[in-house]
Amino acid sequence: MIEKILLWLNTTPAARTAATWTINLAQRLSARVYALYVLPPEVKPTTPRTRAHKTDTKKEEEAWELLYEVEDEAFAQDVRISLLFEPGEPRERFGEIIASYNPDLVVVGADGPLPLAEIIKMSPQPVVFVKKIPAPAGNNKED
Amino acid sequence: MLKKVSELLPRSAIILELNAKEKEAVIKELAAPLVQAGFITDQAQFVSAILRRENLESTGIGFGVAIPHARTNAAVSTVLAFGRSSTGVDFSSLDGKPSHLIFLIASPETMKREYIWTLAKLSSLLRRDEVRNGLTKAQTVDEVYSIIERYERY
Repeated sequence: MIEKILLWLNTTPAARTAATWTINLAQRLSARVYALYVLPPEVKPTTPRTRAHKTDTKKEEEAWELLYEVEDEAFAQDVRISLLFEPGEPRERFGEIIASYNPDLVVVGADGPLPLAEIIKMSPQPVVFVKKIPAPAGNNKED
Repeated sequence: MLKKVSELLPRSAIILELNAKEKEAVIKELAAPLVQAGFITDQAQFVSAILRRENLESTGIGFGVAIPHARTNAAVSTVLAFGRSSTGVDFSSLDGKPSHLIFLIASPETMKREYIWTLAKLSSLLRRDEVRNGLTKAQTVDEVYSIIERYERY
């Protein structure tokens, strides 16, 4: 029985498709969604301190925007959702979240934050990878 | 153009010490000045929208902060209220801790972009230790205001 679904988000189109897919599934199963965004640390902070901070803040705000968009979509479908914003190294944070929340299913966009094989290896639970929805025929903008 | 957080927070909607001790009463206390100022036209409808959301999700984001929010036609424009609780209020935060700093967000159904942006901006702002410490220690409404203005420039 699937009661808890961990949705690992990033800013790719596939992750957004994965979010909609997860919410639809959660609605049918009356499951709770845990929407996770891991913001990796800056690798080389070579810019002045204030500028580096600005960059971090901008990325953090983008992450929260995505999380709240997904929350709004879940709310419209009466799906229970919790938002998890986790700054840190993706492998470590993902492992910790899996251990803390013990989800029954993990959903990730196909071009996700880590290589697919690595996510499968790290997750003791089943993992679903969702591809982005193809653009309609004749529309090349998404290609 | 999207407004800054400080531009969405009327001074009359800053409550330095909330009287209410539990979630629903806190939401009503924070909504009251917004109703009085005409930002919310129907308090019952607004509170009901907030509580419906609270039943589906935790708006406690951790670190002693909660951001109850709703998009509803009971709101005339996007607007904030802020209240402090020294005893703390249970907003079912994922970290299990009570919330001491509570920001209420009201927005009309049609203003989704501003609503999401405000939520994101505020969540990011309130994760910063210096912002939370400043808001906790502020002695006056003006101090609360200046802390938000100062840090949202970054």
